[in-house]
Amino acid sequence: MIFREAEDLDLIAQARRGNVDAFNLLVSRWERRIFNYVLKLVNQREDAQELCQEVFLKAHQHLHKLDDPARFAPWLFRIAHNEAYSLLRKNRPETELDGDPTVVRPSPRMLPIEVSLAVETALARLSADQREAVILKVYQGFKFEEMAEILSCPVSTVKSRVYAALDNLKETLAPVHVGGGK
Amino acid sequence: MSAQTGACPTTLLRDALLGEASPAGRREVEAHAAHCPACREEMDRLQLTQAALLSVRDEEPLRRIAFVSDKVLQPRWWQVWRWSAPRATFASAALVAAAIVAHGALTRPATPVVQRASVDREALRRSVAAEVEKQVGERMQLALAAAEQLQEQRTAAVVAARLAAVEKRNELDRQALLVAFEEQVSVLQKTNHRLIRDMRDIAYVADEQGRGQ
Repeated sequence: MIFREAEDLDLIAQARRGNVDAFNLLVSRWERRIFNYVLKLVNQREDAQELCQEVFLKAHQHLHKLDDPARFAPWLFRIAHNEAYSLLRKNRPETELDGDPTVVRPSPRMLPIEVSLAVETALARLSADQREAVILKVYQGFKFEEMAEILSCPVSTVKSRVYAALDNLKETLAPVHVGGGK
Repeated sequence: MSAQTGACPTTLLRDALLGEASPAGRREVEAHAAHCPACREEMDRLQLTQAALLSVRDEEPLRRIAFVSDKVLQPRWWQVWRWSAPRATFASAALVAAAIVAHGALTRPATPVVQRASVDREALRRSVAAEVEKQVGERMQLALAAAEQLQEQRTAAVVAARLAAVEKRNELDRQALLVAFEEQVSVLQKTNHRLIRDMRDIAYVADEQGRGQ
């Protein structure tokens, strides 16, 4: 990971100087993660693909605003977060994004159906904030401080969302065994 | 709640699962869970939850994203200027440093005294180098001679010891051979005496028989 981060720093520096190949290499390293992140937010593959392109286009246009290249990942995901929520607001302006989401249409996945559906159902029951917190923490592996930077909220808020989300998910994905409770 | 370990560290337990706890915190959680069935179950459920979530694999993007050279992607002139400013500053500083060095190298000395002093230094340097080389050579010679002498002494001692060992072994072999030879001589003498006696007996018997006839 250390070597990869060092290479990213070099690619960022080259991209800032106008090296398109360097930026394309940077894109190839991060597009899968960004795609899956926005996909879990918007749950539409075509929308996720377009968002992904928008994210990297804006990333390149605003790369000069990145003060600390070592913070590239949280910065990039912040752009993705903003783009995803802009699309969600545009598509569902009457929906309270902080409340329960509308029915989420499952996307086709090549996975054990039962686990996939159970996880999708469990995630759909979360609020948008809790769902995104779980996505950033469990799927993307960010630290609480990085998540606070992405979501522009205090670390304590991030923690409470993650803990609450885990409590809710636990009830669905890991119920208490009958006869073996606390 | 475990009476043995005190209050359950619920927050620390979750942080440990999420990779946010320190190594000491993780050990504390493990030690507590070993004696607290409730926390053990909580840990198991959270791990199961996390495993279920992670069983959902990432998907590949529908299309690869790539950019081509375009004006929209080219940095603005002021961006180029801004990001080349550090290099321009460094280049300027390098030029100034080079100018200072060149000035120092090309500027002639103010008075001839400085020139004479450099000549004396050169001769002094040469004489010092020669003296150092001479002394180093002499000391090396002495050291080599001492090393050779020591080596000769050691070699002579080793040779003498081995010769003595060979001599001793030869002496022992010689004595053993002598003893064996004397024993053989004794055996042969006894055998010889017995033969002589037997021959006398045979001659006596033959003589007696001749008389009887």
